Amino acid sequence: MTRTLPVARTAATTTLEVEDLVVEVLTEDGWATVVDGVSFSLGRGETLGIVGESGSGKSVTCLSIAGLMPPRQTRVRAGTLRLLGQDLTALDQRQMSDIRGPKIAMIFQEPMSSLNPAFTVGDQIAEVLRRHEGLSRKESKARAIELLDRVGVPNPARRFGQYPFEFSGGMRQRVMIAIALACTPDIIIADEPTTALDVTVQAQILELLREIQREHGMSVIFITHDLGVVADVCDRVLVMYAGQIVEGAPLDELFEDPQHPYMEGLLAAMPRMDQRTDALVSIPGHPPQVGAFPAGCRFHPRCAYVRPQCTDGAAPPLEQAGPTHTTRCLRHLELTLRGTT
Amino acid sequence: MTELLRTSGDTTVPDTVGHERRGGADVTGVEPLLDVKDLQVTFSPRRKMFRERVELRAVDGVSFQLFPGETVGLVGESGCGKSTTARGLMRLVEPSGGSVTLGGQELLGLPAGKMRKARKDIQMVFQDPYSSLDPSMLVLDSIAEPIDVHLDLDRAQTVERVGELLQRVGLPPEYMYRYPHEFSGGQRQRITIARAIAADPRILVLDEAVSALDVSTQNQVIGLLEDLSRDADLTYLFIAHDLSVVRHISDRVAVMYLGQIVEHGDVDRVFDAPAHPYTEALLSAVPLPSPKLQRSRERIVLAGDPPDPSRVPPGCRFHTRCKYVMDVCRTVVPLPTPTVGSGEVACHLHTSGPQLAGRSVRELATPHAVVAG
Ligand SMILES: Nc1ncnc2c1ncn2[C@@H]1O[C@H](COP(=O)(O)OP(=O)(O)OP(=O)(O)O)[C@@H](O)[C@H]1O
Ligand SMILES: Nc1ncnc2c1ncn2[C@@H]1O[C@H](COP(=O)(O)OP(=O)(O)OP(=O)(O)O)[C@@H](O)[C@H]1O
Ligand code: SF4
Ligand code: SF4
Ligand SMILES: [Mg+2]
Ligand SMILES: [Mg+2]
Repeated sequence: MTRTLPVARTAATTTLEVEDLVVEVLTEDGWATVVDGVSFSLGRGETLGIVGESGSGKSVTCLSIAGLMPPRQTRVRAGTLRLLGQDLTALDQRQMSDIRGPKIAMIFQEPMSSLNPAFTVGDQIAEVLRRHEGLSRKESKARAIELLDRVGVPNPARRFGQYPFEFSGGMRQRVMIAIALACTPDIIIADEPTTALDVTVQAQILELLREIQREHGMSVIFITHDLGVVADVCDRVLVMYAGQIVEGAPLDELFEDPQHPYMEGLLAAMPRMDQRTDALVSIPGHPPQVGAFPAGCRFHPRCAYVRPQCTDGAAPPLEQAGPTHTTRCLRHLELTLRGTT
Repeated sequence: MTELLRTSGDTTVPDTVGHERRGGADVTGVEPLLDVKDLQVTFSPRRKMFRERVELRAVDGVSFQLFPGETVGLVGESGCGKSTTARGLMRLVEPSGGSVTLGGQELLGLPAGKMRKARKDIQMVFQDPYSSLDPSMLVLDSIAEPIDVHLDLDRAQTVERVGELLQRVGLPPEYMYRYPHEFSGGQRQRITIARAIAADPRILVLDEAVSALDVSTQNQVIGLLEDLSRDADLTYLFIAHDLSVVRHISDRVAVMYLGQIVEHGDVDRVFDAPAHPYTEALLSAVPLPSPKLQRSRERIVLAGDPPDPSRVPPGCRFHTRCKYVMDVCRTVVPLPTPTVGSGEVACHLHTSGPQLAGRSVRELATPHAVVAG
C-alpha cells in the first residue's frame, strides 16, 4: 500500500515522525487492529490537530507515541516513531519513562485522574523537577511556584501546599499544564484537555497553551472532537476514521475545501452558534466496531457518494489532493465537497 | 436582584409575553404554563475545616415563565445554579422561597400526594443515559414506571403504549424486551425520553440531555425533540453548556450567573445583540468552527473562576470579572430593565455610564481589548 506523508518536511524542522503505526488491542475474539497505518510528521512549533469520532483511534495513536498503552492488552504491531531522529520503538519501558517529561509531556481530559489525590499539588510538580532536572528540594519548590504562577494559578505559594480536591476543574488543568511544562518538553500531547471545562475556562486554557507555545516553540498534538477548538488553535489537522487517517491538510484548507466525505459530514453536522440553522444534519449510521471494519473504504456504509468500487478490496490509499493535502477517498477528483467559510 | 422576569407576566410589559413563536403564533394574552417567581434554593454545606455552617444560595431569586409549546434555554457557567433551578421547581430539592405555579396551581407547599400528581405534567431528562436507566430492569418496565404511577392502564394496554412510545422515539417496539446495556448512548437517551413522555407530560426539563452524545447522535436526538414538541405540543426547559445547540433549539434563552438570571430574551436577540457583559463574554468564548472567523473575532477572556457562591460579591455579582465595571457596580445591585427587541437585562450600563438603554453591549467601543487572565 502506498503511503504518503501528509506534509513533507525537511529533517531540520521535524520534531516527530510517525510512520506506518499499527496498534492492536486484545478483544474477546483475539487481537484487533485499532490504529492502522498512521503516518504523519510534526514540525517544530507546530500545533497538529487530530479529530474524528469516538473510538477512531486518536488517543491510542498518541498514547502509543508516549509509550503509555497498557502492555499486555495492547501492542504496537508495526511502525517507526522518530523523535528528533531517535527511534522510540527501540526503547524499553525504563528508557521511555526518561523521555516522558523532558521530551514528551501529556495533558489529559480529566486532570483528577492524572493527579495523585494523596499529595499536594506542589509536591507533584516538584517531584517531576527533582527526578528529571536533578533540582534540590529547595530549588524545585521555588521553580514549582514559578510554574504555578506562569500558568495563572493565583496565590501560587499558598496553592503549592494544597491538594488536588481543593482546586476547581480549570485550576487542576492549569496544574497539569504546569507539570507538562516543568521540563520544557519538545512535544506536548493534549488529549481533549478542555472537553470537561466550561467555555469560559476553556478559552483561558487555550489562550494559555497558545502563549506557552509561542514562548517555548514546542510542538503540540491536540486531540479534540470540537471543530471550533480546532479552528482556534491548530495549524494543521488530521482526520481519523476507523483507525486510519482519512484526510490531512492545513487548517483553512481543510475547513474550506474538505476532500473526504466524512470531513464534509462533520462540518455540516456542527451546530453554529453564530447562525440560525433550520435543521441539524447528521451523518447517517454509526461508526464501525473494532474488529469489524467494512471492506474497501471504511466509511462506505455511511457515505452519500458511495460507488461499487468503494465497497470491496483493501482500503483506498491516502492520496495527494494538493501539495499539502491528502485524502483517502477514491472519488476525490470527481467530487466537489462543501466546506465552511 | 429578585425581580427579573417577574414583570413579564404583567400584560403592561409585552416584551416577553408578546414575542413571536417560531411557529408564528402570537402568544399575547396566553397564560404561562409554568410561572416561576423569585425562586430561592439554599444549601448549607458544612465546611470541613471550620465546622461552621455556611449558607450557599445556589438559586437566588430566579423568575421565568414557560409558555405552551415553547422552548426556553437556560445557560451559564458550571455551578451557576441551572440544575438546582430545575430541581427546585420540581421540588426534587425543597426551595427556601418563591413561587412555582403550574397551570395556575401553586406547587410549593403542596402536600406529597398532590405533588406526585403534579409531577405527571412535568418530567425531567438528565445528562447521563447510563445512570438514569436501571440496568437490571427491562426497557419495558423502565418505561412503564410512570405509566403505572400516573395512568390507569392494564398490563396489555401498558405494553401496547410502551411499544408506541418506542416507535415515537424512533426505536423498534421489540426493544422493550431488552436491557439498557444492549444499547448505544444515543439509543439509551431515546429510551429515557420515551420514559419521560410516557405519562403525557406537558413540560420536559432537559438537563444536559444531549451533552454526552457525539455530534451526529446529538443532532438525531435534537431532531426527535423538535418533532415531539411539534406533534405533542411539549414545552421544554432546555439546560445546556453547548451554546450552539441552545441557539438551535430555543425560542427564548435565559443567562444565569451565580444563582441569578442576568439577561433573557428571544434567542436571536440574545445571541446577536447581547445586552449583558457576561452574555457577551460567554458568547465570545465559544470557538466558531471557521478558522477565518475565529481569527478575526475579538475574544473576551474572563479572568479567574466564578466567585464562591457562598461569598457573593456585593453590588453586581459579575463586577469582579467585568471589563466595563464602574464604581456604582461595586455597591449597588443592578435591577432588570427592558432590552431593545425582547427581554430584560440587569446591568448598570443600561441606566448609568454609557446609558445603553437596552441596546447591545457590543456597541461599546471596548475600553480594554482583552481583560487578561
Ligand atoms: N487499553 C485498551 N484495551 C482495549 N481496547 C482499547 C484500549 N484502548 C483503546 N481501545 C479501543 O481502541 C479503539 C480506539 O480507541 P481510542 O481511545 O483511540 O479512541 P478515540 O478516537 O480517542 O475516541 P474518543 O473520542 O472516545 O476518546 C476503541 O475501540 C477502544 O475501545
Ligand atoms: N446538594 C447540594 N449540596 C450543596 N451544594 C450544592 C448541592 N447541589 C448543588 N450545590 C451547589 O450549588 C451551586 C449550583 O449548582 P448546580 O448544580 O445547580 O449548577 P449548574 O449550573 O447545574 O452547573 P453544571 O453546569 O456544572 O451542571 C454550586 O455551587 C453547587 O456546588
Ligand atoms: S471512497 Fe467512496 S465510499 Fe469512501 S468516502 Fe470516497 S466516495 Fe465515499
Ligand atoms: S453592572 Fe457593572 S459590573 Fe455588572 S455587568 Fe454591568 S457593567 Fe459589569
Ligand atoms: Mg480519546
Ligand atoms: Mg447542572
